[in-house]
Amino acid sequence: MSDAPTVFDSESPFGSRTDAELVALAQGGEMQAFDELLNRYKTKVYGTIYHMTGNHEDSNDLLLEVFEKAYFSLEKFKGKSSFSTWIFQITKNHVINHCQKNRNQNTFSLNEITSEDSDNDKFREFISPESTDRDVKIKELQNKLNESLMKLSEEHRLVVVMHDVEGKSGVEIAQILRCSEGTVRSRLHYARQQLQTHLKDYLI
Amino acid sequence: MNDASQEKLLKLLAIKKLEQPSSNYFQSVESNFHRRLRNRPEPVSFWAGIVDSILGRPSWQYATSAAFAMIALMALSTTYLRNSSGPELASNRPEYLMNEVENMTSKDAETELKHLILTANMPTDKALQASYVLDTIPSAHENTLTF
Repeated sequence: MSDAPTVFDSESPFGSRTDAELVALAQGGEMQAFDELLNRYKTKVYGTIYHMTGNHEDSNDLLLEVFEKAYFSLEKFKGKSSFSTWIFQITKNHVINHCQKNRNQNTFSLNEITSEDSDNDKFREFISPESTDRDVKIKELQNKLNESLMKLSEEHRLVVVMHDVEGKSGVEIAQILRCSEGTVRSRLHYARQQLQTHLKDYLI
Repeated sequence: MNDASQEKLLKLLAIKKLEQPSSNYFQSVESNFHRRLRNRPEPVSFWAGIVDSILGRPSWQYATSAAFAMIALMALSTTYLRNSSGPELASNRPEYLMNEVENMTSKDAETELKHLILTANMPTDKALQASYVLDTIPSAHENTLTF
């Protein structure tokens, strides 16, 4: 599993450090080192939370809560796993708790798909480029996809989000969820079957 | 479900990656995080937390208020009963009253005794000059209406 940061910020004094080095510095009280870790992982953590909740406002709060929890638990982090695995374990626990508490309040405040994205080839299979109400169709597709995801259990949804949306490997997901790879594959298979049933009108 | 359907599902799920918050959202995350740390309430001690969790409940707040009200009421009642005139011990009576009773030999002793009991709690200068006639007309009785 890759522990290397995805984005190196050349302006940051800690931009060239590895995660492990930044963790050690942050444990020693260096706030800027933790800020660097926050900046490296905020987009990915936000993505996981957002695709789990389908709500931008909740995702914003949960993102800050996850990093707050990580900041105050950092001294307990012994480096047995990578920082990436550790921060996603915190994210998983936090977001699953949130989803279970708010199971009956599925209110979507979905982020917009930008117009340049909507012209992307990815949409061609689902929405005709000649369609006059193209934006409406994209919104409808977005809503239908989120509704279908929300019908899955939190555990199944998390596996789909991490594997099929964010592109994490089975090994990485197994480490985050603290289960076997077989369990990840089994959950993924079941979740995809469920989604195919819910989205059959779009998959013809 | 066939492979083509699954492939299409994976493409559909990949579209979710395009859902992004506004471009400047991630720039403010760091400052929001620092603000959150600054505004974090001070951690409370274990026992303070227990007391807060008990007294912080609305039902317990009502119960505590009711208990305080009851205690206050009982304290007021006790004070009132202690100050009010009840059966009095002979040893607690004023000395002048005891002397008068001892010296009483006349046959209208009963009437005299009643008078002494009635006036026992009055100041001594007024006790012997009991008067039931109003010297002045109360203001409420004055006729202020003139036509």
